[in-house]
Amino acid sequence: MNNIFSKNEIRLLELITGSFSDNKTEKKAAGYDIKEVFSIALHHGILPVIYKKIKEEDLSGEEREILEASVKTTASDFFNLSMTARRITSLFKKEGINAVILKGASIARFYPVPESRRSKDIDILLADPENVKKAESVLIEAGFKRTEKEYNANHHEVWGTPDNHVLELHTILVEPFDDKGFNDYINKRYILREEDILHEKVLGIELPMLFDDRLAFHLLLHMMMDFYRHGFGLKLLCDWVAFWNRDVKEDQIKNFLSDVEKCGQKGFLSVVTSTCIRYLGLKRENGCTLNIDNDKIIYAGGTFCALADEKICEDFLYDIIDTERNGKPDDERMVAMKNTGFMALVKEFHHQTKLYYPKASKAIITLPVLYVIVFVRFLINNKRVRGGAKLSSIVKEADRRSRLLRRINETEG
Amino acid sequence: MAEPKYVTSSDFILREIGEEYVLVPVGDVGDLENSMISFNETYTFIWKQFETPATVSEVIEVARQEYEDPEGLMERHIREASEELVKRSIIKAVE
Repeated sequence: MNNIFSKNEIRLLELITGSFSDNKTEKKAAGYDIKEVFSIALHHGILPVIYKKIKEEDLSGEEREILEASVKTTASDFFNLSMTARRITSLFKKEGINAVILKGASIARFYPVPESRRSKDIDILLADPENVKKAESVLIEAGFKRTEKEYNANHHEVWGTPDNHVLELHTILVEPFDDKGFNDYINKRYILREEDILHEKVLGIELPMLFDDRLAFHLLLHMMMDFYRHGFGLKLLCDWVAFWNRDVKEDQIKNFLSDVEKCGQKGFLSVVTSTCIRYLGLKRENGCTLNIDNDKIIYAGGTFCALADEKICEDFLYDIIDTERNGKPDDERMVAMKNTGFMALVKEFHHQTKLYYPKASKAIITLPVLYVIVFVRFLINNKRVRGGAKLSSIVKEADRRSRLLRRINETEG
Repeated sequence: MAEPKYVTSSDFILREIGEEYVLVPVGDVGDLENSMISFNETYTFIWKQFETPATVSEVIEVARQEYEDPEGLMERHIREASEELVKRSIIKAVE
């Protein structure tokens, strides 16, 4: 492995790899500091995922206490959130509203230990966005309270549950991108019919969820959206490993690849999947859907995507590890832009303004004021994250991430 | 009258969370909902035995084969624990 990663990061990647495979002969990085490894895993919210491996390390008493507490809290949250999600979707169903859960248990079920995947809220997607008013009435009747935030108005509503959990009620799959064709395709593809909904028990809790094709596509879009906005942590890459480390049906893969191609995301798919194969234990052996054939990643039905080169995978993974290196709140990080330069920055601010202030931004006269607000917010957030960094270094960092994004988009899928 | 057989309720699952076994309610279980119940070694053993239908006497028999019982309290402990599990509908009589 290249020296772009510290010994501690290399050890963490080995622990993740070991947690997703039965490989007993995992190699061991030398000279790492387990305190640092522990700290990075803690900040990325993946301590419970690597529990069985990291507990074999030379941890202090305090670290062991944190580890045990983290495992219990994560498991408790998993069950509580899943039960609440079941209750909500059942209430919806009684009123004729179809819905599916996003993320949460629908991904956790692929982990070796499902309750080890950290979830902090419940995400529910309405099968038909036209049902949003009806769904709101059901939630109010059941004692849920709406948290008013205009920022989310065109993507999801935030609700507080009676037992103090957060519910995000999605009317569309992902935040709109600055690409109308892309948004239109996603919105059309994700109006779900009854037969598009899978009902599956996860540790005894039956929940409605997406089938593999749409689920994989949502995972990829979710990663991409987070990467554009503020970066994402190792947890989402773990999701990708868990999802593909199993037998996925050929027709589902074909549907997924078709969606990826129509949305022009083959480069992103290639970099994400190659990174998981190269560094995170996405298996290359029996039992896994994916394998490598020279410069391609293949599955039983043909080519999945190109195998991205090691350098871009390294840079991509470095960015992911860096995202939550010091426990940075991930909504306070640098955006990445499709292009570099001043006009790209202006375009991104315009897009962000529309996302943050969907109603106010409709009036052209308010736009200059909103631009200033978004810009000041951007500076404050990044100054805090970067420990009082200068404007020049903030812009430099945005530029670095934008260049990485451009390289990813240029990667042959 | 034949001794009744019991089986674990599908409203609960047993999970190993960290260093302990925990019983998690996943069905409609009233007061126990949203709780996680720590199981000691005895309760964990009993739960595992009732994962397939068994009588309390059969469970005691298996326990005698697996554990020593120098104080002669094993049977009483298993009967009391089983009674409690039945009372809380954590194990149920097989029809």
